[in-house]
Amino acid sequence: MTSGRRGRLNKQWLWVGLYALTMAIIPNVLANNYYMKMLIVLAINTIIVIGLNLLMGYAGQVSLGHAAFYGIGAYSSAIMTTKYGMSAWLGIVAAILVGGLVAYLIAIPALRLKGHYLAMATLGFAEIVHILFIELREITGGTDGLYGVPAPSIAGFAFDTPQRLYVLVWMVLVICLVMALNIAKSRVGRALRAVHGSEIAAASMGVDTAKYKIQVFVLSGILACVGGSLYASMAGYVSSESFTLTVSITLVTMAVCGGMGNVWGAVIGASTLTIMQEYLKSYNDYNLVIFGAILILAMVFMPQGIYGAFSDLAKKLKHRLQAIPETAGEQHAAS
Amino acid sequence: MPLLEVENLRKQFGGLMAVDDVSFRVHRDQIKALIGPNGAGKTTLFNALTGVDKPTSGKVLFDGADITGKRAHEVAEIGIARTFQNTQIFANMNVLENVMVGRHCQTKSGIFSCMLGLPSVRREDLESEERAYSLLTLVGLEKKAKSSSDDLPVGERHLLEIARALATEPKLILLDEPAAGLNNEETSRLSDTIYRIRGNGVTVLLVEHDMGLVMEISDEVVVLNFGKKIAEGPPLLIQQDEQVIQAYLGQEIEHA
Ligand SMILES: Nc1ncnc2c1ncn2[C@@H]1O[C@H](COP(=O)(O)OP(=O)(O)OP(=O)(O)O)[C@@H](O)[C@H]1O
Ligand SMILES: [Mg+2]
Repeated sequence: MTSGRRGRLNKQWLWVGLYALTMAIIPNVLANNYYMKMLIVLAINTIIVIGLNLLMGYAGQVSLGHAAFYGIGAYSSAIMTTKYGMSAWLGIVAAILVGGLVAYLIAIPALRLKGHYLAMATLGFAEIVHILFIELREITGGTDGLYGVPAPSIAGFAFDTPQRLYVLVWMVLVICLVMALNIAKSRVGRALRAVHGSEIAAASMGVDTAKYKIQVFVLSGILACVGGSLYASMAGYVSSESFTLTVSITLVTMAVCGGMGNVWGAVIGASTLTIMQEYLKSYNDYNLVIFGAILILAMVFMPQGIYGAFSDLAKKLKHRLQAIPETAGEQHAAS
Repeated sequence: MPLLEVENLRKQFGGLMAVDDVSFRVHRDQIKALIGPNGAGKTTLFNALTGVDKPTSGKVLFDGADITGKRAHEVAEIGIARTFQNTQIFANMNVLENVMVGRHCQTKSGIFSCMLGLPSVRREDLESEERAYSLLTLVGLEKKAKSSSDDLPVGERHLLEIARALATEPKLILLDEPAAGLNNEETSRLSDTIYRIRGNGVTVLLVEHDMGLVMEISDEVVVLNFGKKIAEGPPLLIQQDEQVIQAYLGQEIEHA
């Protein structure tokens, strides 16, 4: 039994390797700045949705306000670099610290709420943050935003073209994916799912539910901040329009469509919907409607998301195959 | 010193005194039953003991220490585990993982070590998995270890909850109607399991409507009616107690 488990884990790392390799090869095929930027956005969205999936899919805590953390990450980076002359690296560190602190302060009161109330609270929080981005003109540049955000560089090598920046984003993405997969299968991952499954039972098993809810909220907030910080480096400027309610809804839609409660679901959801969003660019004004509709349709017809639908299909196929007498003998020690 | 001392415990819901001035003791290595008609306050008492609800007044001592008003996860860490009458399975996990959640108390890896996948995390995980598997064997669910817990019938959900509670390595386990949904054969296997639990040094406090089971396995019985304790003693005396028979009027309790 133990060896079976180990086999499964190794297969998971095989998938990670395959995914990392694919994501590394794609830019060599699309040698075009336009597609490179889309790929960076895709990777950034994946980082954020991985965090959102840990929060919503694993721990069952809804957030309709993750655009706020995305924005806090982007603005922290932009402010620290353009106003205080810090390096882009320190900008990222600042984004993590500020975002983590804000997430912690919000989590303490908000996570006492459940379901719709929590959703409303996070939504309200994001609206307030959005207004602050516009109104705190002195530091955020108001409606103009902030320009001239530098790209990070290391030992003279600047990640200043989309191709180069992608290398950095790719590394961060792979690290985040590995960390999320590690958490998912660990004691903490089980505690998060227990909170989702039954809070009373989780607590009665010794899980400090409040602590884990706060931890996963802060973690998902930090991942969104990292995404925002990378986004600021790519775009070179930040403006409040990039962090609206529509963005929050889009992120949630990615998490739900991909498949909640599975890290790969986040990867699938963020990738598919980012590409789709790019194709629907000419209908940008209707984004909220389009993504809202997709979200509702997904929740009604595909509550397990794309990942869930495919793994169900795979299970059924396997079942069929095993039912054929000739192959029946091959079901050896697999289980 | 008794393992558990309940002193003048009260729990009030609005105008209803669901548990009314109840006192009793549970001694080490006992199997003690808590019985009473529907709505007598048994589950409410369990909730007040385990930190799921705060008692209105009274005291709970465990191993001599005052644990009144402690939060549920602290109570679990101190060594009291429980199952739920309306089973609270983690439907988003398979059967084995459900039991592994019970190992939470016995393991320490925090979010950072888990994130980094440190070797210590993996070691703990394997240990948890092995312990969980052997507890599933104890309750007879080992063949379903990898099944979805959501597919289990009611009876097996209760068994899963017992394995999960035992995974916290408690000194005292509270079972809330574990025989609900079990047939006769399964019930007799449950009584074997309860004996074995006690044999492993875990004290048992049991709420149960199956009087056959209660009278067979318990060393002592506490009877509640309308939130009040109306009798306490060995099964044979309880079966002859006037007040108890009155409370259960219309219900059979003598067929042990
Ligand atoms: N959360 C609550 N709010 C208000 N009243 C409650 C609450 N929980 C229980 N009660 C009431 O308290 C009384 C005791 O209920 P409890 O569930 O403890 O009974 P019980 O002895 O476990 O019964 P059963 O054998 O049916 O499980 C009942 O009258 C019930 O309606
Ligand atoms: Mg009850």
